[in-house]
Amino acid sequence: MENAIEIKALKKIYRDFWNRPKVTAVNGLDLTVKKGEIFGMLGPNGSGKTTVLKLLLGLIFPSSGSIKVMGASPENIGNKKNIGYMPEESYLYGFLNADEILDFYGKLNAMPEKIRKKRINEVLDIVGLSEARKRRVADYSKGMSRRIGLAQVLLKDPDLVLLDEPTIGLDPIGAGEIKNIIKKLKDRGKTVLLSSHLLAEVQTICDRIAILYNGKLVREGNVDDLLTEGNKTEIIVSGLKTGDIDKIKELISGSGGDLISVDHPSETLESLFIKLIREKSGKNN
Amino acid sequence: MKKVGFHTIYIAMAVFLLLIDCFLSGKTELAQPYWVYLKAVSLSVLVFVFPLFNRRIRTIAYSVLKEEIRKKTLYVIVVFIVLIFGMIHVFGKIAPGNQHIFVSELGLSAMTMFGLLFGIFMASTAIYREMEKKTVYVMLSYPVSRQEIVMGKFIGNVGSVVAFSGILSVIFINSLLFRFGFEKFELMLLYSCLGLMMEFIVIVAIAITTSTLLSTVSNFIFVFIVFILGHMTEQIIHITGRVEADSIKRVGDAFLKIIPDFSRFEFKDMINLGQSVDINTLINLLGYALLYSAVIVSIGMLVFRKREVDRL
Ligand SMILES: Nc1ncnc2c1ncn2[C@@H]1O[C@H](COP(=O)(O)OP(=O)(O)O)[C@@H](O)[C@H]1O
Ligand SMILES: [Mg+2]
Repeated sequence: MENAIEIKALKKIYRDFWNRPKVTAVNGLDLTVKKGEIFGMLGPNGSGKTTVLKLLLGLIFPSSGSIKVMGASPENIGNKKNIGYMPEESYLYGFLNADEILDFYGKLNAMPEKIRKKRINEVLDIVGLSEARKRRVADYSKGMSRRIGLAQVLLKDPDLVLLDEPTIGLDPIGAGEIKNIIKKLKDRGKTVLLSSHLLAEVQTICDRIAILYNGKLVREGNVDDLLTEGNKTEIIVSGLKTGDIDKIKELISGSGGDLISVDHPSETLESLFIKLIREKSGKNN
Repeated sequence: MKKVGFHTIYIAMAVFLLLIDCFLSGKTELAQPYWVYLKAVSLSVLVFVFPLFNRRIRTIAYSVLKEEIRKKTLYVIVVFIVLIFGMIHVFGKIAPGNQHIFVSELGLSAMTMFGLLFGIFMASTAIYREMEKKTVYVMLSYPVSRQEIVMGKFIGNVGSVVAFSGILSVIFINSLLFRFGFEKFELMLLYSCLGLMMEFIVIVAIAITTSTLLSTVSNFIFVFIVFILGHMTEQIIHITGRVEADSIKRVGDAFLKIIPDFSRFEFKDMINLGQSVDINTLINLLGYALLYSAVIVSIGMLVFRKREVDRL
């Protein structure tokens, strides 16, 4: 099966006014997103998630490396009909109302008027803005603006959906609704790439995740695999004496196994995440 | 097979017309009179008509227009009306004999100022604000080319500034007609208004192009400086004419070719001196304004093509 996104050795260096390197936002990233999956980019603030999305959309250009989105370069304009993007914060044209904004985007996407009008009604209903559709979006709350950001993606109904921190700024109910919408997108065969620093969110809806740190890929894989770590065995014991640990260690090396660590078990993505980030930043506890 | 982009045709046409114009500018007698018409017509088509065949450019241009209408533009127009009637009233008392000259001149000055400020305020933020507010991020996730965005903004801004100065012109001319009657009305008044509109189009073109690079404030200042320099072309010619060094002369000449000659667009002083211009001058001017704008906007499109929209 063809991949939705292929990123190879991608590097993005932000430079200052004098063209001196300032920040390496993405640093040699390899990433593949398969068609039909929900892929989560996970990482703390400033790890380069948004930068990757900007590169995928051709908003900025790679310093080196290659990107393929739906089989074409990010600079391929015709291809954009098939890619939807919800930005980190929804910045809108304040002088328009919800109806007009969606109409604007629908026109840019070459949707015929009849279909456009019908679909706008539908998506406003889905994101729960039917009541507020005639109000200027300048007066919208942050959460409402984000819903427009999502509505715009749903109106477009592309095969690949890029969502930057999709639940940020939403109340728990709104966040839950968004997760349901994302799952429905997958059911309809769409590919979703989302970024998040909220681990619980990624854990519940993503098929695969990549953990980014400082623009580098730290770990990639199935959510379940990452947490169970296939060939490793975790023995959870309580009330063990110190001397006993040495005996167990001997036993393990006696049977040819490698003792990797004696640690508290990682039971959630959250703890794995924190562990990995600590390792990378050299702050082992 | 790659489709030839809309903007490619636009830029190619602008460059083509520029080259012909440069070529013919030396050989006045034969081709010039026809070229003046042909240039004005073909550039009118290129600037005003051709882009509107593109749905995305139309969409963007229309949204610019909508924004301008919804801003407080109406109040500005009301202020202008009050100003004009105030002037007519005041000068009716001070200079009863040739008050229509005074009022024409002052009215045109007011129009220049209003149109200029409207044009610069609107256009100098056009592209930069889209980047600053990040609205361009979503726009670029649609099948719209960056060049189409620049062209759409340009057409929308030109439409707005022409509509705005058109409304001011109608108010201005009608209030003079209303006050002084037809016998005192001169065609020069209408020509002056049209000249100003052309000037505004050029200003908008410059401001849009630089707004792909410069922040709102620096762009505002930049365009204002260009406006002032463009009005000083005669002084610059005067200065470079007196300089001995060849190199400086050449720099001065090049400078004069790049800076738009704004003084050509304003007929205020001629009204005062009782001189008039003919329609051919106006058509020539239209060709000049549109060629200049088309070339400048083409540069804007090329610059924005590789602009990283998050580098502010
Ligand atoms: N326009 C920019 N200019 C300079 N540095 C930037 C710019 N945008 C992002 N960065 C830097 O790149 C790094 C990654 O940022 P970002 O991709 O926004 O992180 P994330 O989305 O994971 O929080 C950060 O260090 C950030 O400061
Ligand atoms: Mg981010």
